[in-house]
Amino acid sequence: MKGYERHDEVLNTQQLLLSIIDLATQRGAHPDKLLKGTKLFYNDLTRVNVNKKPVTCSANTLLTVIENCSKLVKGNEISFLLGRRYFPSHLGLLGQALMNCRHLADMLRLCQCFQLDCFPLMNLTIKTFNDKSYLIFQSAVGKLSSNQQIFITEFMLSALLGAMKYRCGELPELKIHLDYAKVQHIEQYHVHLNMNNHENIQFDQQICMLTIASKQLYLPFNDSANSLKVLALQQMRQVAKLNNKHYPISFTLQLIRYINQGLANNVAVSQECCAQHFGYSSATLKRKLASHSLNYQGIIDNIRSQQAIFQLIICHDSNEKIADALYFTDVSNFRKAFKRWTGMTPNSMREQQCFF
Amino acid sequence: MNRSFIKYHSPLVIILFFVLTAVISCTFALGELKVSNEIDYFDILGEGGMTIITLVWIGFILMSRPAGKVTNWLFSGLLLMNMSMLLDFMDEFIKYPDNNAWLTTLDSLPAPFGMVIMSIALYQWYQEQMTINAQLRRTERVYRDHTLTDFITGLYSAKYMKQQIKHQLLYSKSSNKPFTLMMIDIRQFDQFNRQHGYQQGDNLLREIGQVITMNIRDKDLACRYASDRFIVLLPDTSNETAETFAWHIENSLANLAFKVGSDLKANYQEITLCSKEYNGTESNYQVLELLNLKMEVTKKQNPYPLGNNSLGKQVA
Repeated sequence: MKGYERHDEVLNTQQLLLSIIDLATQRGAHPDKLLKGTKLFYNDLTRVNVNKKPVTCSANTLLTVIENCSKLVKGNEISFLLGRRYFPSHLGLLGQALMNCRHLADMLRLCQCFQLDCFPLMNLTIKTFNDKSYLIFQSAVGKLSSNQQIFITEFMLSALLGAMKYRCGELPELKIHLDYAKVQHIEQYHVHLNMNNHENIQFDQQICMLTIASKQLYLPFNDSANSLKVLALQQMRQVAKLNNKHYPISFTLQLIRYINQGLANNVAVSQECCAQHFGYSSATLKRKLASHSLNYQGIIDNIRSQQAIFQLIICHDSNEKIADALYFTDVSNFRKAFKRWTGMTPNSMREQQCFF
Repeated sequence: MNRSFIKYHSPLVIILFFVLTAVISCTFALGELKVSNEIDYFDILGEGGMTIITLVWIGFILMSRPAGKVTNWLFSGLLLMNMSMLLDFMDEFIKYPDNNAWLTTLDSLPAPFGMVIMSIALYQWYQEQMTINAQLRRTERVYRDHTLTDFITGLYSAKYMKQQIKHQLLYSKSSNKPFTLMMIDIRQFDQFNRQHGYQQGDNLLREIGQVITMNIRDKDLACRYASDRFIVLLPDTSNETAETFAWHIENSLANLAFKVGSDLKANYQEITLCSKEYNGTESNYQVLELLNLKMEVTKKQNPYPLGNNSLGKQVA
């Protein structure tokens, strides 16, 4: 099945776009200025299509609106407010299904399966180590500007945490690593994410990750009904069939999964093999990547660096062990590569972690 | 407002005097006095009048406006125009030798720049005024920057508060007077939003902001922190005084019968309130973190739901 790309007009984000624009308008921005560069008008968004198909747009459109919004509206609270309002009312049928999940892990699994309907701009990977689970986020649509990255991360965190608080009654103990520099509007993190302690939220990290105790993920919700969840999912599939929708996950996530498989077995996956696997020519793959401002080697480096950082800061593995896990021939090669990926040596990253 | 802002403008006044003396001494140094039959008294009257009038304008600007960006723009624009006129005026009694004739061609140069800057300044002034209309007393201290207001409540935003805390820390440290910060959190605001809609939630926030400002002194500052939280800066205040104020605010808010739209039913809000005293030795960031932790502890000690008269409160 084909993954959605940055310019594919398949995102069902009419409601999200409208909410962004309404929130920004309440804060003094003009709707037309917010939609500048998207070839859309406010009326297009409020209009209901005659053949009952929802207005779809591309990730590019959403990103443009987010960028405009970050520039036009001061205060930086829109991303958080959007997140808090996202679950479950903005998600339609998926919201119903999520409301009837057995536990948090079940909800997260649905979010991963229905990436396009849930968090189309982010890839979510879940790793576990000892008794903790790690939710790792990465852009699903290629390179983002720093405004966009911050907005989307804040939106997603506040939506996730809002859903957790809503379903669990209170917010479980969490820890957040963020891959951008400390922001000016830290008070929003204090209040909306309930992250009062600087030990629980760390900026300037090389990985974007939410840490939660694994047992929290499996605490059962007593008021969930499996039958309602199954019904909602069936209805979703029907709607998808009617609208000819077949883009469950992002193009980048498909690529990453395929390359990951190869890397795990120490099979170097060449660009040609990869293109062949997905049924493209090598040049087409290159073009598709370029439209996301990515390149093939960059993706491989990114997968390996994220793996290395995870092992380093979470598992506290030695350089030898990480180098071994990533199939480096020796440790010094690993150190050099790590420096190239992250700008710091493995040891300096360890020191930085001790400092926190 | 019956107070002059001139005392906050010492840097600008110094710049003004420096520029004026520089222009006058420069013209005297480079040229020589004309003989009396060369002087055109009619021109002197006209150009001298204009110079003095622009100087008066600068004076008015400095007296009527607090320190800030727009004031700086207005001041620079007027100063440039004043420079041009002064140079023109000096022309009337000073003759430049041929090798220094560039000064006469230069004299008209600052004026157009000054006018452009003035136009920008006036446009910003207009925008600032629009923001100020929505503002209340007790929501601003010394410095004005309309870009830092919070659109929903009309109070200043957390960014402004952070700047003020920075100043207050320096002041407290040097004067050895403690100050207190108070944080006010509305309980179950999410639920209110879900029940009545976000527009009503915003209205509620605005009214609560107003009630808080009604309960504090003129030298205090109330700002919106984020979402449903407010923060109040009480300079030169110990915890005991803050405790009294906290009691006042709690009482007022407990009696705020908010009506949703044209609905007759009154909605009473419960709040969590905590305050903390600082002596100026803390860092800017530490201050807020300590206050937030305090809020967290207070919330845990007073779990929801509460009775109507047992508002969450803790002062230490």
